[in-house]
Amino acid sequence: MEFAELIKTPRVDGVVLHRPFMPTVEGTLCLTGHHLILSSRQDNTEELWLLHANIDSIEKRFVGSLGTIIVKCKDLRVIQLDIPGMEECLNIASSIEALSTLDSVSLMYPFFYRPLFEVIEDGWQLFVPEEAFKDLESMVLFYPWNETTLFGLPKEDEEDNIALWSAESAFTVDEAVMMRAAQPLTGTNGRRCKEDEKLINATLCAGKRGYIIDTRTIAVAQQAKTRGGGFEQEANYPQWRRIHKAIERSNVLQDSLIKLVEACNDQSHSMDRWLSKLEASNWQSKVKEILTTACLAAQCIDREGASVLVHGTEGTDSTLQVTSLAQIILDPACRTIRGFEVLIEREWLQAGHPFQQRCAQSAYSNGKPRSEAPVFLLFLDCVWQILRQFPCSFQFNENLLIMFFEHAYASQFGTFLGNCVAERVKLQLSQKTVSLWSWVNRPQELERFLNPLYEPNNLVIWPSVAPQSLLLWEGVFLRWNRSTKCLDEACQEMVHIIEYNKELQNKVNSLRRQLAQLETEDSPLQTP
Amino acid sequence: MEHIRTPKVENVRMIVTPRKSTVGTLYLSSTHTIFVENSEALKETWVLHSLVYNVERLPANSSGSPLIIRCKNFHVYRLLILQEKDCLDVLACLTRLSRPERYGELFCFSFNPNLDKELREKAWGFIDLKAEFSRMGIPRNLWHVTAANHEYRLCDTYPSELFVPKSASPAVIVGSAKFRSRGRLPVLSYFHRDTGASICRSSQPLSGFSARSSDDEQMLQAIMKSNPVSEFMYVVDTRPKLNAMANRAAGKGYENEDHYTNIKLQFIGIENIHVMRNSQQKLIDVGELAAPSMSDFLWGLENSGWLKHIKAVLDAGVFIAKAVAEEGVSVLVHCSDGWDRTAQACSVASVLLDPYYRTIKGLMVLIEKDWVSFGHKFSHRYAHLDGDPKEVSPVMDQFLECVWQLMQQFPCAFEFNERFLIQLHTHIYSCQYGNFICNCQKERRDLRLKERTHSLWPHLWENRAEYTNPLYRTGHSQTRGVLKPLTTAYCFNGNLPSHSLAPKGSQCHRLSMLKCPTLQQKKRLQPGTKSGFGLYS
Repeated sequence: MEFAELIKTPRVDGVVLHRPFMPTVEGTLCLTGHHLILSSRQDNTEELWLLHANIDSIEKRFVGSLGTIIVKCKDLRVIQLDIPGMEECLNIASSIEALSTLDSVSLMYPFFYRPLFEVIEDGWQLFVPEEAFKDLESMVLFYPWNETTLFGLPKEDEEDNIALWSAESAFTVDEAVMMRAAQPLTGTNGRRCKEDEKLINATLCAGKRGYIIDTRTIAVAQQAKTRGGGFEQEANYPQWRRIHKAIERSNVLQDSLIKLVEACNDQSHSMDRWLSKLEASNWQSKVKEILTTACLAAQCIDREGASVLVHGTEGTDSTLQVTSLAQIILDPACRTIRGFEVLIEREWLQAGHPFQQRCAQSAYSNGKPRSEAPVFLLFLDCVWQILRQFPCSFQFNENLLIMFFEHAYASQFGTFLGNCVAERVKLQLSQKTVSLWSWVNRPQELERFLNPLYEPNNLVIWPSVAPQSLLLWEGVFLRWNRSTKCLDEACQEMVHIIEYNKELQNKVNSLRRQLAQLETEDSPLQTP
Repeated sequence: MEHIRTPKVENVRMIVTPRKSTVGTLYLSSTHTIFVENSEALKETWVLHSLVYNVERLPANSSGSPLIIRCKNFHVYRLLILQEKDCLDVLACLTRLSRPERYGELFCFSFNPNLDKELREKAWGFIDLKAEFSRMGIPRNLWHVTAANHEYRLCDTYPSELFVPKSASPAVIVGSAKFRSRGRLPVLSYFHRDTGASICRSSQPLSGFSARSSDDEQMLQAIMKSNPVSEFMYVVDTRPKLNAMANRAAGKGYENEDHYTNIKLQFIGIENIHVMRNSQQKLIDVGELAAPSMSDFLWGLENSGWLKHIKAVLDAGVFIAKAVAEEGVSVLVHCSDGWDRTAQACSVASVLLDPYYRTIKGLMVLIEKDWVSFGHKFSHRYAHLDGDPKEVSPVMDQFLECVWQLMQQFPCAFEFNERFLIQLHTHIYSCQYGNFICNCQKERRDLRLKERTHSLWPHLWENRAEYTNPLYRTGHSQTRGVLKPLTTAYCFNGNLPSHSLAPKGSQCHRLSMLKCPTLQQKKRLQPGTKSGFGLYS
């Protein structure tokens, strides 16, 4: 298919762009296969380049012959384009609609994108599973891409085996491991699987206990039995204790996000209405639930030295939220940029979180939700909450989290395409697209993501999960609804202070060295 | 000492969290409750009696009698006392000591930081309001100090020196005072040099349904004319319109626009002290919920109405600041008596308008001017003495929170940090210094507070390194000009400062450490405990 077929009007002059907190721009609107571009053709004004993939939904309005298109993006931004001429406007609107909802993955921008930078370190070669687990000797690793069963698609009991992973080396010190899986397929008549029992029990030494954290309530887990799923019977897994937590299923999340963003976008709300809408969206409750469960998992490992197995239904959504957050709490390595990338690679991409399905639509989706859900965004929100409570313990800042959110939903890079490793292999992403990591890890880019306050902290960090400690993530949800000038200035000021302090430290050190040198030179003279 | 039956109780358990507690000895002095841990460190916790809000005894159980001490600065101490009799004694004693009946019983009269007489006098001169009015750059041909309130003859809740328009004759001044509640006539609170517009304040006029006073009308006219470029002025009634209307039935009310030439009346809708008191109580209740869910918390926050009221106060300030700075129009602000909502609105507007009030010294000056000198009823509002509970209201808490909310939006604009606001809050209630005792200047003079007590300001000033915002830098764009905050509901951070007292912001803390090496050393030298007023033990 040619993109040209979809582009009825490639260019319109005299289009006016309105963005909140920015001056309006008048210029020429161009549509390409992957971008919506507005350029004023003046050197000093910023151009707008918007990926079609970033467009969540559009609305059109007409006043006389002046058409207006409201473009709502997956990164939650809302912009308005005033387009003279009804026909042009209709053409543009239908083109945008078609181009932003392309079905075929291979038509996505990453397959067309050629980097303008030199790839020094190929992100596709960066994270090899053996590396991540190299300190675990007694563990045999299962490679999903070698198995015939597709990773992430539940099928019989192998699912459990395949999805069995362990935590970082840090936890093996006390021989406690963290594992994740999908639910066991016990069904209503209590089927058993000797291999699964053997495998799960084998991870515990004699006399050690373990906890199975089921992210579903007992009622939901019971219900799952009727569909062939279920949970571990204690009698069959004698060393394990099962705990149920109430993390909402992913389909409920989408609704929650839509409600939250709707509340954030209405500036006319009175305080009462705002607070009640915030409450009704339930988003903050979900942040609290997930963090609480992650703390519980971390606590089992850190306080009791017990092993933990986390699962929900398929082990690709709430399970990953819990295991990855628990690692951020426990393991200082996950709080570095590289470590966090490893975490996303291992606990999300390779663990088979279905990014393409979950991130197909964002908060402005108006159709019937299929399988989209902001599972990953919610995880990033939880990371932000911990980062806010421990502002000196992370090597990265909020910008890195926001960047991941943007790229998960729309990107020039291939990293978040596909739903599991097998699909990615099939799509030949590593040959045909550029990895996000190739770009992020360039020193020029990294600078933007560095937290100036970072001081490595080797301790376990326990976030407070009290409701008053958990705030709305303004950096994402209010990003386009207020000016951040003053907050950005504060960050700059912070960097200045730290730089200045470093400078002074260096001066002190060099003076100290000089002094020491002078003292050793002088001392023979002083002694008579 | 006559109220202390049991000066010492041993084996008292202080419950820090449901899982963490320490055992120690409880001492009752005439001014403090002191808990000394049995541990080797002998960690001490000092609780000032005047900071105690209430003491509650729960039914005794097998492990002892629980006693909860709630403080006005939102600290809560939970004790477990072995013998019920001891518990009852402590309860009776604290209940009495935390509710002094006479000013003479207050801590400030016994608090002695070892300053000689001369230093004490000098300390009281640290904040000089005369100097402040001349700093504003008031044009002497348009405004002057009137002697009308000499010896508080005209209005006993105002300062004796008042700035009024030069064109207002003594007869007009007296006549206007007679037409205002409690004689609180319109006088100058802040002059904005850049535009020549001013903020004046007063109480409500005694207009009822039809009364008028040509003196009062002339007074407003004089205020308007002292801003030569503007053709009208705003009268901001900070009350909800309905409340203002109800006051007419009592012979009070608001200005009739037909009688006063060239005024524009604007209602803002800040609720009265009773609504605010209940709102804060509801908020405190939310804070005391055991393991609340997110919904419990957000619902409780909404139901308390606290942030709605904070927004109303800020909105009032924003309206006034905009009129003065952008329109160049003078504003007269009043509520009923002109000592609560009026003080809030004027001082928030001043913080927005004038960068000076965003400095450490400047905020002290502002509080001294708009609150202390203009007769904000500190002793009534903050229950310094055992009195009418209906007079108590967190008016100043709200002002401090407004400043805190502004700090969230403009992190580089304020010289002081959150800790400074918390310290101010504590001392407004503590009665340790004389600054906030009594309800007006006249009472303070009659009590000879300056001779008998100490001033808080120099004490805070000496420790200013601890209260300095590391991000503040003179010359930064945020430290200049007028602040224009957003007051959309979602801009209000639900993370309430007054209720999460421990100054968190390890971020801010680390930067302070970098910026101030002496502070860093000090911290190293005094590790560990930070307990109440331990310094003066």
